[in-house]
Amino acid sequence: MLISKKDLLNETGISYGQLYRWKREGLIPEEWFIKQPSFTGQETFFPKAKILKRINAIKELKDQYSLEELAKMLSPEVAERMFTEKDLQVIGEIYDGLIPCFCKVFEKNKFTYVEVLFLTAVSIFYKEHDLQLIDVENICSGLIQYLPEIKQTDYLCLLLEHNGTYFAVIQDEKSTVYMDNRIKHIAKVRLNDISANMKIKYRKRFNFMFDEADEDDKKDNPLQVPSSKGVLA
Amino acid sequence: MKQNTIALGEKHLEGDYHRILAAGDIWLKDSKTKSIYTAGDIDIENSCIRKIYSAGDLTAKAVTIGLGKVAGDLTLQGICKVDKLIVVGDISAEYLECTCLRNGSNNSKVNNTLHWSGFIKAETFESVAPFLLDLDYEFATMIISGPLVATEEIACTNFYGLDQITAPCINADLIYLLTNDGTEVGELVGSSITIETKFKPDKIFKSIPKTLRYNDLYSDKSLITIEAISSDKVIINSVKANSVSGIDVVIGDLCIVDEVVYQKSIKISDKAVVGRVVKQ
Repeated sequence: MLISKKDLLNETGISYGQLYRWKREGLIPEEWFIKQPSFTGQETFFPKAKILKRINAIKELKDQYSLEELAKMLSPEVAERMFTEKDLQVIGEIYDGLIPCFCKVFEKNKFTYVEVLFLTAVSIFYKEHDLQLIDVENICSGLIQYLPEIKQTDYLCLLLEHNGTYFAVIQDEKSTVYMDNRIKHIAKVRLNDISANMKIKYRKRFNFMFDEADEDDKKDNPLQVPSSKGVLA
Repeated sequence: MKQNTIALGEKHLEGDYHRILAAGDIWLKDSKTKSIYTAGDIDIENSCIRKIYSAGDLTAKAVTIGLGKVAGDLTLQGICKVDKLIVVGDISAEYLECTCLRNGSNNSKVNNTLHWSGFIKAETFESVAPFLLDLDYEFATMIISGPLVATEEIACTNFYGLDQITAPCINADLIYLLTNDGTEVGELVGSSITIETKFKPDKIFKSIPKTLRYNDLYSDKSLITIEAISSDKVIINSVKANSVSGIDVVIGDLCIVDEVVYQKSIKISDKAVVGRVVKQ
């Protein structure tokens, strides 16, 4: 069921400025602005249940959170997504030739955001330090079990070498690590830097659509957004 | 002590300089330099430059620049920050952040339409040259004084359209349009929309950081076509519109509007033609 813009403003008491500011900020999805022909050209309509729920949620929360914070709550972050093998091919920083190796070691073809950041770090090491495929396999195998424990990106990924064998370490940025000086420190990348770069470079590519899930799935929580059913734009 | 250097042919430079004057192409790496004037192309990496004037193309990776004037094309990799940047050519940027960004020079005419790509963020974007807005951007204020074509909705906080604008929609808190022949906008939406035949900068406009002065500008007084206008405050002149909706609405001289919907107040000029007026 649709509601016209005039009726929406009347019913919710918001202004034109608020409605369109929230659209600009990504709080209201563009797909909800449905143009339909009228005798004066076109009129804007909205899916009634969704928009009323969303506007009420924004009105309730706008005093507690900034519009930017609200946008993050309402719009799915890249960090919540699963990345398919095809998605990995889109990420230029991940060397295409390594993708089959990643899938083999991880025994899957869908990766979390943190795993993608790690794979990017490994790809950088591979390209910049002439690693062999076996080195990549060993590094991935050695760290795979710890990746699910990483919930944010304030980590460093270090590449080390000892007697011709490469190792990797994932270290909290704030912690100090004293390394045995027999181990050669080859390279270091910040997961935060990779993440920032990813979000800038691929934000359009990995911008998931809103509200793909059934309305029933999230009736109780107007802010809940689907993560598993998101569709890559 | 920092040194000055003059490069006549191709030259690779590294380290800190006071001033670099280059007639040929130069490559600069890991540098803190006060000023660079170059007639050729320049390639900079991991450097902080206070002022750069380049007659050729500029390629940069992870740089911070105070003032940049580039007559050629600009290719940026990594995160690049520039306080004031004026570019006459095309831009390709992974991530560019500016306080003021301007395309085109005020005194030299650019005839071809510029093409910028990548992600660009700016407090103020000034468009002087013919421009196709087809990039990923975040501009707080847009001041458009050259022909602008956008294929998608233009979104920003303040939009000043002082030349011919073609766009399906403009969504901004404050929208100011000077009526210009050829302007075609599907929809204007925001908090305050003003369409006039003469532009006199107000306090808000004066407080916006910018690189040019925009004193009393006049339009060609053409009737411009906007399909729909929706805003809290609407003041329009010389506009042909299908519908105008607002809280406080002023339909000025030479307007032709099929339907006006208002919430609080309405004023309609004797020199305007309005079909239907509805109080919401």
